[in-house]
Amino acid sequence: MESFEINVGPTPATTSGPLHLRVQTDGHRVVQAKIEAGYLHRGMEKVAERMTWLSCQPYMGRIDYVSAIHCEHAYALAVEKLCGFEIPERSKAIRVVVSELSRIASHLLSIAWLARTTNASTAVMFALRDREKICDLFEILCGARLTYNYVRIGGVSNDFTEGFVDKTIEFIDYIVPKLQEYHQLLTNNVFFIGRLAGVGVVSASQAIAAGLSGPNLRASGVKLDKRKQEDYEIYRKIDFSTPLGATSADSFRGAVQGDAFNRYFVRIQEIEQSAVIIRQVLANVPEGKYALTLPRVFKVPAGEIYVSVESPRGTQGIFIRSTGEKYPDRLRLRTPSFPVLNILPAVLESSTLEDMGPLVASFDYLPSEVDR
Amino acid sequence: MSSTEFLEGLKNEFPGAITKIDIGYGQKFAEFSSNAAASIFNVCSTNERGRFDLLEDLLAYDSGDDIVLVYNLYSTLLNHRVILKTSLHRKEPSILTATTVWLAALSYEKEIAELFGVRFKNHTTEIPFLLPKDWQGFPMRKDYVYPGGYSGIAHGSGVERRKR
Repeated sequence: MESFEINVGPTPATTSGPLHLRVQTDGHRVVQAKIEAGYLHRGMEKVAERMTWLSCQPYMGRIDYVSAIHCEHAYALAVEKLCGFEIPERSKAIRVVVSELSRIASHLLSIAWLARTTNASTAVMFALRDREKICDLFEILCGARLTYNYVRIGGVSNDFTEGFVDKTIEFIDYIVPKLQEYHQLLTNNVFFIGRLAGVGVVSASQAIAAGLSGPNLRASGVKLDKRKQEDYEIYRKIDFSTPLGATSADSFRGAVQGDAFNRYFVRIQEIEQSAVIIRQVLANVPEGKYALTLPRVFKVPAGEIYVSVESPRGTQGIFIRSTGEKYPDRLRLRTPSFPVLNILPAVLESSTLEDMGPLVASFDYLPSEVDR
Repeated sequence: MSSTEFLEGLKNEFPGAITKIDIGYGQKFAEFSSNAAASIFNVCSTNERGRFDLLEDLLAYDSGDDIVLVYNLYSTLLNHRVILKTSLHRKEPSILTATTVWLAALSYEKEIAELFGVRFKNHTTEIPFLLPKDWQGFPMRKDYVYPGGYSGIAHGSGVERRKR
């Protein structure tokens, strides 16, 4: 069989942004895969060194624009910790609500991309329709639909706006039963399972070695969730579970732990858990201020700190080195999709051309946060 | 506090290699000399009080004098964290690759090699990674001089840090 080199991308249908794969094939088998990243490199870490602590904040939403809240959140947490700020209880609750809403929106988009690569176009429409409702909620809350700049150092930019809480509860009441439709269309669909089962299997040890995190890691059966591990905001007080990839092979016709199907399955279960969290928090939001009052330009004490939060794609970490100035000396963004680069070529090399789309999409790889 | 115990043990085992142990904001930092990288990496991943199997992050920063590498290690088995740091001479910074112990270092090292000009011995994969192939210099260093433009496209001079 003649060998070809095929260029997939730089704008493939499998990711939301530019990713360039150079694939060497033998028939329909992939022999070698090379990844070229960097098409969206904006030098965010360098840019941050010229910004004041406050003016860095809006840039953070642009790192991971699909769930902008989480990077803003990690940044705010890191600066607060360095400064020793104790933020009001109410703002903690608000942050958890918006984080989880953002998580649902991101997972829905991820499911839409994945469904699109398997030509399940009805599910794409469903997922985008429901995500739109969350965008509407954010518009009511802060006026923006994509990059919110809502979580700020010291709290959030404004309190719950009129109607937001009611509409959010309305949405939760809507989405939880609606998940049954997704299960009918995708989770229990023989063709969908057939496309994903056994594709791109990553074992637990491989996943840890490569540094995967979030749903990609949990699909391989490793129970690691920053919301449980790191004591941030009020997650400690909330009762929710961490879904893992299914262990028994016969529950879903041939799906094995750590394959593309389980990565999807963990995400759809997480939507349900996020709904559980939002309901619990909204039932009991503490009264009080929603943010601290801070000057526009302030100095942060010298020090080094690493803070991480659980973003929909995994560990969103921020390392800050401050020299006691008005701007960060080093702002490092440890983004959740980045380690996928370590394992993707190896996983692709044991797959076929027709599996490539669903395989890449199942990792929920987001170029904007990898390239920064 | 098993990671503290681990670090004390590490210091006893390699008296010259671990130069400083520090706790800041509840996080444990240890500084090691880059010559001892191979043995330190091995002990961190295999020692039963450490068992750091996950390299959560690897980053570099320019302290002005040196290029500092920061290894952020986490143990999924014992649920603890330690942050290892090492300083490299900025003239020809080089250190042994960590990819033989943690595969996760692969992309991080590529990025640091490209943006800071650190050479990782025995690192196999190709660089450039994030930047265009013909990019000059190491942009994340503090003494980096901004180019006046790229590919014939000039850009403005607003590159100095704004005075506030």
